[in-house]
Parts: sequence; C-alpha cells; structure tokens
Amino acid sequence: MKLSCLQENLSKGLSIVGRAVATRATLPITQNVLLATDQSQLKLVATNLEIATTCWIGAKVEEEGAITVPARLLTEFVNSLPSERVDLSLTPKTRSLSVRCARFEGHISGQDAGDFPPIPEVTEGVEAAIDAEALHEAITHVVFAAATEDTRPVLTGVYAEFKGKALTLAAADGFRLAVYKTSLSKKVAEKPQAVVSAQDRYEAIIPARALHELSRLLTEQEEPIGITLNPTKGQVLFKLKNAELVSQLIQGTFPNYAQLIPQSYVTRTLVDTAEFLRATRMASIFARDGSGIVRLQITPGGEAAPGKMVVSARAEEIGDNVGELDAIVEGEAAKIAFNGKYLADVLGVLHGGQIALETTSPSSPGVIKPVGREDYVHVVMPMFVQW
Amino acid sequence: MVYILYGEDNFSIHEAIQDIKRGLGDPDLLAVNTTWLEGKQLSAGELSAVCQTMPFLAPKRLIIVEGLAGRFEAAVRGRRGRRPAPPQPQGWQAFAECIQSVPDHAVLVLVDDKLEATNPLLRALSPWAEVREYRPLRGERLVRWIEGRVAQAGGRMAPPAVRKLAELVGPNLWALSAEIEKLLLYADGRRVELADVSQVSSYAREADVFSLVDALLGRDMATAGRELHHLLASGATPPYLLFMIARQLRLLILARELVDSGGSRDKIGQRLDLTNPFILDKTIDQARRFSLERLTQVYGRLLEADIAIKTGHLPGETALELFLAELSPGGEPG
Repeated sequence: MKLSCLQENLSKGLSIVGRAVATRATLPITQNVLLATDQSQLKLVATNLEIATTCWIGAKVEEEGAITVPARLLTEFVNSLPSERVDLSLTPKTRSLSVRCARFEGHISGQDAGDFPPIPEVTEGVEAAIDAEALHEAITHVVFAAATEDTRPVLTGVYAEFKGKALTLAAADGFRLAVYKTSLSKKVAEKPQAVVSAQDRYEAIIPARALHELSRLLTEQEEPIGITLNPTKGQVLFKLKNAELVSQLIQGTFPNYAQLIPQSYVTRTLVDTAEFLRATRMASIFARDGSGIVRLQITPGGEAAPGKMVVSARAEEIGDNVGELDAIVEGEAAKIAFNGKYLADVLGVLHGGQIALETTSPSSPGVIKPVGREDYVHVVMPMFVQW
Repeated sequence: MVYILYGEDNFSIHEAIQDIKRGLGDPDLLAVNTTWLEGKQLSAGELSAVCQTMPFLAPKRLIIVEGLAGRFEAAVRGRRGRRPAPPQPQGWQAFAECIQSVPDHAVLVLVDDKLEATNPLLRALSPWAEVREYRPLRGERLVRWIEGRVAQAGGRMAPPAVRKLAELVGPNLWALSAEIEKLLLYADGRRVELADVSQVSSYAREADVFSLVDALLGRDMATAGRELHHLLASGATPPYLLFMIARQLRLLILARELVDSGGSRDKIGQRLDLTNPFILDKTIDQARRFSLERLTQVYGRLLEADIAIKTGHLPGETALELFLAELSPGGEPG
C-alpha cells in the first residue's frame, strides 16, 4: 500500500471513525483502525462489533493494499502533524506502516487487515432517505431519554417507526418518554425496488449509542441521509456523503408507549422555555442532596394578577430556593414534583419558545410539548412528595 | 413494600425475586419499571429518587438493591479472617430513613450475602420489612429440596441417587439444579438411578479424583491405575487430571498443617474455602491418614510430570502413567 493524502482530511477521517473504536475490547484488533485503498480513495474503518463506521477520504493511490493499526496511536500522531501532505506506505513483510509528513516520520506496527472483523453490508431490506438536519433534530430530541443500564436492553435503544413518509422516534427509560415525529424525504420502499411495496410500515430498535454517534456526524452533512433497514438480519445502515454507519438492531419488543401519553389534562400551563430551564437548573442545585426533587406550584391568573408557576427545591439541613415564572394557566391550580434532571434534559433540547406543561394530578404523568409544534411529546413521571 | 432477602443461598434468593416479580403483574411492563442498583456505591438520595418516582405504565415500580446492608457490617471480616476490612458504619441512618418512607407504589428488595444479626440497617428495618434469611441447605433439607425440584420438573429419582447427588454437590443449589436438569434429560422419562449419577454428573468425576489420590498416597497402585484409566476413558484429559490431583494435594498439605496445629473442622473449611461438606470431610480424613512428608513427596513428583508434559518431553498419558509407576513401592528410589 502506498498513497498520499492531506493531513487535514486524514485527521478528520480518523475523528469520524474514532468513536466506533472499541475501548474495552475482548477482541484486541477492534482497538485498531483499518486503512484500505478503495479505488482512488483511502477507506478508514472502525468497529466495536455493535456499530461500525466507515469513512472515505480523497487520496492519490500509487499501490493498493490494506492494514490495521492501533487507532489511538495513529490518531494522536496524525493530529500532531503539520497541515501538509501525508505519505503512507506499508511494508507488507513487517506489517509496518510508515507515516511521513513534512520533516516528520513515524512507523506503526500493525495487524493483518484480513484479521479485522468483516463489516456487514446492508444491501437488502427497506430503504428510505431523510434530510440530515431533520434526522439530527429527531435524534437530539429523544436520545437522552433512553436507558443507560444494560439490565433492560430494549430500553437502551430508540424505537423507530417508518410509515410511508413519516418517521417516528421514541425512547423511554422507565422514568420518562420522548416521542418525535418527522418526515422522510423519500418514503420507505423495499429493495430491490418493488413497484408496489407489500407494506409501508417498518419498525426497529436502534441502539441509542449508535444514534448518538450518528448525530455527531450529521452536523456537517448537507445531502440527505440514506437509511437501509434489514430487520431480518437485525442491521441498519446510515449512508452519509463520505461515510457510512452500520449498527446492530436491538431484538425485543418496545413497550407500547402510546397508552402512556395522557389524552386529557386538568391544568395546562404555558411558560417560557428558557426561563423555566433557568429556574429548574437553579432549583436542581438545592435538590441535588434531596433525591433531585423539584416542586412546581401552578396558580391560575385572575383579574388582578397573571398566572404563575413557582419552581422550588429544598434539602434538609442544607437550604432551599424558590423561583417564580409568569405563566398562562388554563384550568385548575396544580402541584406536582419532578426529578430536576429530567426537566432540565427536556427543556435543554427545546431551544427557546414556549412550552406547555399538561398535568392531571400530583401522581399522574406530566406532559411537556413545545407550543406551536405538533411534532414532539415528552412525558415525565412525577415524584411522590409530601407537600 | 420492602423485602430484605439475605444469606449464602443466593439460588433461593433468586427464586424468591422471581416470585415477587410474578406477583407484580405484566412482566413486560414490570421490566420497564425494574431498576437494579449496586448497593456499594449507592447514595440515599439516588435510592430515594428512584423509589419516589411514580411507576411508568404499571401499578408498581420494582427496585432491587444488591449489597446495601452488607456495607454497614460492624466488622467486615477479611477473606483470611485476620484483618478486618475498614468498617463503614456511618450513613445507614440516611438509608433507613429513606427506606422507611418508600411510597406504596414502590416494591424495594434489598439483597445481601450473609448478614450479622447486629447489622444496623437490618435491625433498623426489621420492623418495617419482610425479612427472609436463606441459609445453605444441608442434610435432610437438602435431600428434600432435590426431591422437590425433581418432582417440579416432572421427573423421578431413586432415593440412593438423590442422596448421592446431595453428597457430591453439596449445598450449591445452582449446580444442583443444573445437575438435576442434566440427569432428567439423560434419563429421558424413566427414573434416575444411582448409576446415572456416577455416569453423568461431573461432580462424580471429582469424587473419582479423590479415590485416585487416595490410592496413590496409600501406595495402592493397582487401584490408582484402574481409577486413572477409568477417568481417562470417561473423557477427562491429562491436563485436567494433573490440575485436579495438584489441587487436591495442595488442599491436603494445607489441611494437614491445620490439623497438626489443632484447627477445627469449621476453621479448616473456612481457610481452605471448601463449602461442600462432602469434599471437606474427605479432605480432612485424607490429610489425617498421610504424613506431611509423603504429601510433599508426591507433590514434588507431580511437578516433574507437569514439567515433562508442558515442555513436550512426554505425552500427557505417558507422563501420568510414569508418575504412578514412580510412586509405586518398587518404583521409588531409595
């Protein structure tokens, strides 16, 4: 293998695949990154056996070849090089990759590319496409609500439903639920292109970690993202301009979340999102030592005074705080307590505008929706407190 | 509702948790509402945050905490029983308070290993919680447990087979339930007999290693040879046998030393980390019958055989045969 490319491109490519590199690997080669020539490009691949990221960068290839080298070592070295042309050449006999740039030269011992786990090719299944920004928004709105502990594998994933031109993402961790609806730019169809598709609804549970990685790559994308879903093989492929991410799907049944979303309410409170977030964060400082409980007291407005929401927290022997927000309150006065972290998480992704908080009783779920948008519903379970 | 389930029999604790789960309705919805917490790093605030949150789609939230009460043992004994680990007596009050105010929608299960009766959290919570201790089953209770388990699985087992199994495996119910399952599959509908246990159970092989070691220490080379061939024929590999013989000799040397210094049966069991009473009794009995000199001599020979195999000088079976031959009364130099 012999090729040259720009330091900038190589460094960027390594940062794209870098997050898929295994950290605590049972299979040591997964801590390596695979470098291979692919027509007139350099292909970089990393996998932790759950997700695999591939990225192509422009290169002048003189000799074909492939090798795997420790990802961290190569990335740190390349990142330190000056922004000039990098020459990569492989001595196949010693499996040593030489990296030359300006007046610097490094030699990295590698392992055979043939030993690298094969990256699944998702060619069959159903296909759809979505605008990069829309997908990024959808992921950011739900991914934080997925569970992080492995004891409930299904909940560590995000439920995705493709139906015609609509994509719904949902995540829940037993304490909250986030549901986001968006549109696809190309509706789902089975591949190879069937004239009339047998069905137009497909579902899958995609690991939240994979979507988290994907959303990181989406910020610089302008072209639509291609999605290929293969439920039988349990894989999904996201095709970006110069990169691809393949992830295993999580097997199992996602809880029927629709029944959790309350259809009615007793009190509907409209408040400014940024102010509510500020008050919640402030209360969380005091709530930290007392189970994170943030109390909301909602009072409807009258002729003399506007409606208000009081956000408070108290911790035994530590102190307390109270914040007051203007609110438009529809319905009865209400009292409800939430975990401050969960409130801050959801308010944090809603950037600005107003939100509506719909409540029924201190022990029924609270529903948060951005005002003027129909695409997002967030349900938070309240906390049991003595008022 | 608060349960405290503790004791060394973690199989029965596991079964008890399954029972509690069954009583809490739809398993899918319960799975969403089940949280496992590691008691060692948990703070009272974190525990109460989970307990106080209303259940999601279901009537109850199940919280299982492992090793919380054990954290507050007055003097946690070190593994060797000598240096006590630093006690961590503070902080249990915060947990006691938080657990006593667990709301109705939460089912909290504290799971622990063996706890002292003086454990402060256990004492504080006893009036509030359903406390169940799971001690290891022994003797008749163990036999009855095996019979019950066999009947539950819809099988039958001859009483001598039940006793043999109890004797071989001891109070490790995880291993016992696996052995029972294996035996019932092997018997394929008919009654499990004593011969089946010797034939199928991997624990029977361990017992055969005892007989082999017994014979070779006692210079009964005919029996030792027979046992060796029987073990090899039943599929035990030479490295496995070498390992098992070495392990048994090491235990015997330690046991002999402890016997000589007047150690009790319980103390020897604790020091050797032997929980199976059958193996413990056998080991002490063997240790009493042979001198420390004889034990170390055989151990030394075993090392030679080990080196011969691992350096490729001799094939495994030949090295073991040679080892036996050298230990026979005629084979010993001097």
